[in-house]
Amino acid sequence: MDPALVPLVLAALALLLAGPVPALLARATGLRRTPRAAMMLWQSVALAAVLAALGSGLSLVTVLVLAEEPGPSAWVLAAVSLGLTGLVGGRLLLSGHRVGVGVRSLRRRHRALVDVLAERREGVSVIGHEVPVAYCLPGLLGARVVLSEGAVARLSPAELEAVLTHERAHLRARHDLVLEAFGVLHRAFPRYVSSAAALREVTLLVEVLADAAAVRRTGPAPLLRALAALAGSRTPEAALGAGAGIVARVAAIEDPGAGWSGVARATFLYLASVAVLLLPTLLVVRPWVLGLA
Amino acid sequence: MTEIKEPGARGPRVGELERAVLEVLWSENGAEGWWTVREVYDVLAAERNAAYTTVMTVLGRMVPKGLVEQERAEKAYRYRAAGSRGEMAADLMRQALGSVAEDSHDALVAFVGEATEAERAALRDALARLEG
Repeated sequence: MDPALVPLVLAALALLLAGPVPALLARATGLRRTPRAAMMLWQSVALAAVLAALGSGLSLVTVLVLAEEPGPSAWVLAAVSLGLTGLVGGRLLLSGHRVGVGVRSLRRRHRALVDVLAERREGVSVIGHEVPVAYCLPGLLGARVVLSEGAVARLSPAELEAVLTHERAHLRARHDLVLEAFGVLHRAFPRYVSSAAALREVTLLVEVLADAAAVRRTGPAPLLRALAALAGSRTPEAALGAGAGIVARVAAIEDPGAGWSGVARATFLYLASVAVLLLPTLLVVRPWVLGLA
Repeated sequence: MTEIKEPGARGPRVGELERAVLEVLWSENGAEGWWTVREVYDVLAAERNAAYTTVMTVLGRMVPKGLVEQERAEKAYRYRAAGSRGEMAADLMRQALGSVAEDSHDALVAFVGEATEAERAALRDALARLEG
């Protein structure tokens, strides 16, 4: 490839992977049938978009500076390009830092409260409060599954098992890290990039995955009943804002997309995930880097 | 990674001591709820085998966790609980519910958040199909 084209191709790829591709993926609700493969694809697309954006800026700099006789305008353009690339990278780092620090300090304080106020019952922290809540508090060493007395009272043993299996699936797979990464992306580029759709869809996918773990353990009925028992209706204004999350989860619980067609679709998504990272690297970035040497 | 480390290696012991310390701080005391390490230790030592330095360390660690407040009085630090038992329990629930309601999956991952009437109907229908 003509080296001069590298920045253009990568820029086009970055725009495509940041805007239309996530927008389309978010609309392809069939992807939820193969949640693990879909998660992988989302992560690959996001990573590829970031790498393409940074690579586009850097390659433009090298193209301009390594030209036969770079004129003043080439230097200016190279400086602007380098600045923009730094801006993108810097925004990501800053957002990552803010989200990371904020989340961890919130969790630390919340965990401290849970540990002194909740009662430990068979590996679960139970808060003495009648409002039903169930959630997990992720962390490398201090992971907790937390339930309120109100939630325990509303659940049969099988339903309780479904809830605990769901939460432990979140903790075991470190779903919080994936959500955090997409949260960082969304906070860094809240507009012009389909980061909100990506975050929403990935949030749903981790729930579908945890639901699947619960279904494998208890079957679908206890999980559905637990969802019905704990789905909140506490604040009308919050209920208005709630999205289609539960409806999509119910659909995935009822039709988990198993069988050969599921395997085939998952395989296709895995291949696509690898291709979206590998192809630009091999076809565009490798020749550019080799050309520098 | 098959087993989730629930409380971690340091968990139960530290948590238990923090609990005991808070129980002491929540109990009645003359100076507007402020306690010196010595005062906390005297109460704790009566019921359990805890060293003075351990009590001091635990109290110190509870400050950045937001569980106790610290002030410097003359020569020694004094401590008090961040709130009454009820206030702290309310705080805990507010954080838990706030995180669920906002559907912000940042700090806590909720089992299920707020539901609309349509979502409740979807759940009822699915259960009816499953059991019918």
